[in-house]
Amino acid sequence: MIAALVLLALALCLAGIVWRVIQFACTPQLRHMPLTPAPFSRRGQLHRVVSELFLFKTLFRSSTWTWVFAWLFHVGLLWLLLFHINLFAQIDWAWFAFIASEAKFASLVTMVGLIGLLARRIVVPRVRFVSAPSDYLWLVFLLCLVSSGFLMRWTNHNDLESVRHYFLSVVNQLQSEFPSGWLLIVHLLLAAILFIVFPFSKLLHAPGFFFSPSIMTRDKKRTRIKSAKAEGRNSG
Amino acid sequence: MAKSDLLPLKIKVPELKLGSMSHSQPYQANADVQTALDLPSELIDNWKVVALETLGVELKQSRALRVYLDSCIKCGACTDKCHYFLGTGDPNNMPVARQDLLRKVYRRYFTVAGKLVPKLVGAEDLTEDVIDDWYRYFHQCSQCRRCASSCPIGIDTAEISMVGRRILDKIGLGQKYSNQIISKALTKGNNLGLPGPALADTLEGLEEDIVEETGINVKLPLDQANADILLVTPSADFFAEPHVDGLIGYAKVFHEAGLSWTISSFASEAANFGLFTGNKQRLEEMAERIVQAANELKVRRIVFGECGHAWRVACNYLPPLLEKVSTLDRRYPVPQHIVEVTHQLIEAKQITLDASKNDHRRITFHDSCNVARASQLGDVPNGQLTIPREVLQASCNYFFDMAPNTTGQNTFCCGGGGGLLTDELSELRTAGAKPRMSAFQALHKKHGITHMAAMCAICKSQFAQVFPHYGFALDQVISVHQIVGDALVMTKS
Repeated sequence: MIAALVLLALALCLAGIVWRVIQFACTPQLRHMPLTPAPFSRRGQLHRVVSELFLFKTLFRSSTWTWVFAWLFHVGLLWLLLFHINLFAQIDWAWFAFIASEAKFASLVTMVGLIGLLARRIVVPRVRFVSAPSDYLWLVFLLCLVSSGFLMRWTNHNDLESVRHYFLSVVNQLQSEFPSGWLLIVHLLLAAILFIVFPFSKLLHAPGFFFSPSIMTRDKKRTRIKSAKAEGRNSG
Repeated sequence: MAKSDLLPLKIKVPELKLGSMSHSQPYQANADVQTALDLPSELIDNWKVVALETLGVELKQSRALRVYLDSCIKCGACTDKCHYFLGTGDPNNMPVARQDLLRKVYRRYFTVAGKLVPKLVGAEDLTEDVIDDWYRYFHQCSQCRRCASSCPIGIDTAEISMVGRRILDKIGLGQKYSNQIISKALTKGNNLGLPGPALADTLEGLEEDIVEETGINVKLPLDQANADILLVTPSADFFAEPHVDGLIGYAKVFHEAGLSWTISSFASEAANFGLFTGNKQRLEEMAERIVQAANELKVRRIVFGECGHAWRVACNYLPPLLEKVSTLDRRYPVPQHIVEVTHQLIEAKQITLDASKNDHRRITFHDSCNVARASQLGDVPNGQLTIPREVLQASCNYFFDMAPNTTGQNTFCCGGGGGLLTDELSELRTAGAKPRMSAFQALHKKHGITHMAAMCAICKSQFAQVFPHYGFALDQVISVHQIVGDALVMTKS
């Protein structure tokens, strides 16, 4: 029952993301408006996007403490996402085994990030001024979600094997028993809420990044011919 | 780019002083000005409907707007980047807070969360109080993009304030200064409303001045058909100080390089205030005047004078319109900037500069926001930062850069851009110049800088006015091309 709810919520979440991406993609951007200095070449642009996407380069330049916590949070989150593949499949690659076995550490990294971001939001008056209740609530909510998962792994609340078995049974519409444990119930309910609200919230800033005209457009040259040479030929 | 030998400037972030700038707002446009632009002249009865409709239309037409309103995570990275916030401490001048003035209304009427749980997500009804805040604080943004270049998602407050001003315009709350200028530019061809004959007189006067000074017959041609180059320059260059010495500098460069050029009386303005007020229709009409002038005069190249936002418009809007001009020589960038022209002439050794003629000056360069963050020069990224410096370094022996976190991509606005260069906003403009002035003071202390060179008409006017507030003389701001012109070795009679 709970697994069905989580899976349904996940489906809604994906649909919501697709809908949002379509909405961005279908809105025209009539004016060329790169934020300069911007690369002219495809390669330069790729470099710019990759360094923003994986290293948050601009954030590093503009607010180093926010960068520390935001980066830790996102790396931890990515790690945890990969870890959750465990729910649906058993993968034997060595690197994946490492990721799977260190979920506790990933949760800690994520929580450090979240606590740092929350502290900054509370402590820095400028950030506090621009924060709505939902901005705090999301951080607290994610802390609850991640810490419930962390506690499960920490206390060996239930073994992964049985949870995977349970999820696969639900996916394949087989009879199965819910692995016992109140922490698991809390964790799954929170996950369901997250999935449902995600597409309507500011957490969906990643698609926004990919459609942001200031970062995603490279600069265009005004001429195709080397202008210095043309100058030499033409004047005097 | 020349490396500054200064450490990053320690920028003092002020305490929050809520409402400390809530009294600052520009004069509203009167009926004459508004009707000239087909806009209502006072707050219309159904303002709320029209405001929301306008926002809805803009959202459908602009991906930038939709993405920017949707994607802010309130990380706060931009909160200490705006020169107006740093100068005034009013929290509504923090970029994200300025955006939120529009975003809270967007959330309330256009998003699920804002419709269901407005309080939770910071959504708010559109009320007259909100409109008042829009009028105040969207006119405390110089659209300089410093916040955008500090945002991990590239959210650009300039776009938001342009849309905000557009909505205000449509419901009858136009800004007098900008709209008056737009209507003058559309009827007279320039922001000053200077008619053709007066312009001809002015240019003749300048020719006489040059002869007196140098003994050389440098011409400033007007409406000369079949000239190679159409110079489109901000009209402040025709009479304002220190701008006019920049214009003389362009003329000397053209003369010495043997280039034939002309100014058009029909399109005697590079500036385009339609950008500031988000009025796309008027922006294009003004840009069209340049196209028409180029066609009528059958010029082969279009060169822009020193003006920041005009150059942004030239880079972002003009190229497609200029497809219609058949006489243009496509071997040159279309359009081109005067600093590029001079730079190429120096590289090709077609003009000679004697830098020692500027030995009485110790010079630094102020990157204008619209050049540094919204346009390009030359054909390499960063050209807009390196090319002006190379030109200056070829023209003078004592060049120094200000602290690295205040130049180039990180440059601070002069405090007068974005349609705010009007007297009733003097307090805001003086406060907004503070970060730039701190950087200038620090450099002055270390290297005894005498002049700040700029390549933007607004920057020059603004600095000429605020310098005295910060212990400098108004003539310590100088045109890039005045420095070039002074160093130029004149060999032709």
